[in-house]
Amino acid sequence: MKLSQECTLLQNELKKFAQQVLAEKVDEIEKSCSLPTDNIKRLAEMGIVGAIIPESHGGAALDTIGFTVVLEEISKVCASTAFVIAVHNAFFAYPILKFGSEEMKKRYLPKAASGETIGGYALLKTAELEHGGSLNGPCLDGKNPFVLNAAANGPIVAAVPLTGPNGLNLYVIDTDTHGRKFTKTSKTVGLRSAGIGEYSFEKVQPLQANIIGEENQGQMIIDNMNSYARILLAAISLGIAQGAAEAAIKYAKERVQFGQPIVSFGMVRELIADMMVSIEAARHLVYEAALRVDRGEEYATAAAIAKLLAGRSATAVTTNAIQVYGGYGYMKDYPAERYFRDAQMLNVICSTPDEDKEIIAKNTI
Amino acid sequence: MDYFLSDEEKTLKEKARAVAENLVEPVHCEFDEKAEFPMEIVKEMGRRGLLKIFIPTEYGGTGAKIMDMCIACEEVSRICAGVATAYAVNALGSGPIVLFASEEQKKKYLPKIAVGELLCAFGLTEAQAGSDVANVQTTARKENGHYILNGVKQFISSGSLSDVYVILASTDKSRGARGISAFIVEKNTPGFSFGKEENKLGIRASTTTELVFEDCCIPAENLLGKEGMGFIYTMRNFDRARPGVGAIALGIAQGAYEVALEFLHQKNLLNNQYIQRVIADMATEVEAARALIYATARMIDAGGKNFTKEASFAKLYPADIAVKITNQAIELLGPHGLLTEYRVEKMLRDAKITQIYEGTNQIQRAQIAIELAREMGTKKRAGKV
Repeated sequence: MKLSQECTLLQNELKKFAQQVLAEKVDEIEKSCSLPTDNIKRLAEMGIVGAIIPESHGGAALDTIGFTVVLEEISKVCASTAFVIAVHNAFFAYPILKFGSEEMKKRYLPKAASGETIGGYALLKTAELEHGGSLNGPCLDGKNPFVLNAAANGPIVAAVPLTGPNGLNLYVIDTDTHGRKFTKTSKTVGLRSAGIGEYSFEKVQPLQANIIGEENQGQMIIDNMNSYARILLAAISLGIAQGAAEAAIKYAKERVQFGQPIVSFGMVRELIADMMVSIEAARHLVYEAALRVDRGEEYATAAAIAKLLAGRSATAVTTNAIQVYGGYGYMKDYPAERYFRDAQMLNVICSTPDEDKEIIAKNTI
Repeated sequence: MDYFLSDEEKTLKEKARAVAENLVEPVHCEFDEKAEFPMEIVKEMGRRGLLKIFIPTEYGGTGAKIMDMCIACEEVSRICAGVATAYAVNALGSGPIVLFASEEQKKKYLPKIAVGELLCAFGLTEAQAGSDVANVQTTARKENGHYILNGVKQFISSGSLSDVYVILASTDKSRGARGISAFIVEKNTPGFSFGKEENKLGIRASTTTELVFEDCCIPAENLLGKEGMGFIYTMRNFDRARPGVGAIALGIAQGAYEVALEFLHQKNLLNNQYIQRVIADMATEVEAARALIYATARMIDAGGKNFTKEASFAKLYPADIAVKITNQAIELLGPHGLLTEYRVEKMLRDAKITQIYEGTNQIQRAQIAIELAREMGTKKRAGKV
């Protein structure tokens, strides 16, 4: 797929950065299970951390296709780093930018653009909350084991249930909010250095000034931001699949069995061809969804299609990549198993394939 | 589905399930995280008669029935495939002794293996001999009534923790596969040590280690069967062991299916048709895998002669559905499925090995296709095609 010249330049810059800087550290970061703070700092210097934030708030004002390509390149090497940045933009900056008050934007976006704060998001689906609400207004009470960018301990976006049927408000819960506590890093199958963790909320009463959008608009805003996030997460899936495929192909050319490189065997070639078909299809869909956003077109369906296909593609491609490596693929000395674990995360975070299908069906029928 | 198991088989199934649920369940997460070998559990399985099933009755066992192995492996693997592997390796390791050893060797080892006094392992794979098993570089040189072993075995399950090892080494490099011989090597033999311990994606309770032979001198009577027959013994051993690998895969699939079903039930999601489609397919595929494994096991136990193809079926299909089903289980649980405490992510990590060990699924397919071509050749000769 042909990208604009500007986009290609950005792609090359990130490719170089990923290979020169991220590749060095990825094993160490993976082992430590801690946030890739140095990577984020470097990317902040490059203006990537505030990717979608407008220049007026100090951000890079990247278009969606640009950001997609950036995330893809980073994920080829270190999906955790890409994920932290995607979450920061899609689940924190995006709702404030699209639905927050001017005052809120001024308060949060410049710091988010410079990387001084890294925003997080408490997944609604995993929230174990008492149905809140009191005389003093909505209240967040309970815990959530699946807060994205939890370990950054910055401001997080969280839905707060309203008394009454199914209502939600969306708030920014600041780090120093009384009753908010980062309790632990969660043990997850992949993205182990993305700082996904558990928060406890003890009768947290969000500030009215921190509401994103209007009362009871929470679900609408979440749907909206999920649509946008799907494209970015799909881009990460795409990068994971591409990184895994490249590693597997390189290995298959070097590994000799039965007196020849295994890449000469039909069953290995088939695995490689299947990977390529799957990746290429995903790339077209992901780019198309991103370009729709940039052209100002309706993109919810395209985003769901891209997320579904790229997510499934990455789990299949990384499974095949391990298979190409054989026993070596199962060992932590090689990158295939990390790609495989990371791919699982992207496939179900934000939406599962079934949820994507429902969106596609609903919007198509 | 009712497979009309015999009373003995039902008792065995219950016994294995009790071990899995009472002993393995409480520790499997910790063993996975710390990559800790379940020595006490394997020993206890020996005390409870679960290692006997790999051994013929004449040597203190219960008949070395493939069906028994499959039943026990599935039950343990339903809770933890790492522990199941640590357990099942004893079947793979004792297999060549059961099939090809001398009377003396059998008497020496099998009764002790049957009670778990001796644990055993199988050393074939090397850095350059993975799928290409005939490319064994380890050598055994005959000298003054001894064999001197040199070389490094790689990725050996339960290496360093087993007492008895069946080792494949070349006694005549000029003859390639026909120059490979099998040997029994005991732990603590001078010149036999353990190298790198692998850090793996899954089945982390099963230790995977290098075996290092440096002028390791063993008595000539430790040769297993005849010189030059090692490769054939290996294939025969694999034919009997592969349904067991299938059963380990089946156990993982069954476990993941159960976790998913329970989760969906609790969340009241079983009336959602997206979910109905997936869970119905899961249930069907698990049962299909079980039926295939049981049919193969019954065929072998009934004295079937050539079952190479069927053994590959019984490994290939369950392994593929185990990866598919564990993957789907994660999707069904959503973000919960990504968290270790919900168990299915470990099951996925564990499942992946079943497509790789004891012959990758690509090797199984090649094996099946070779058998099919052979059958066509036989038919042609008989004038049927």
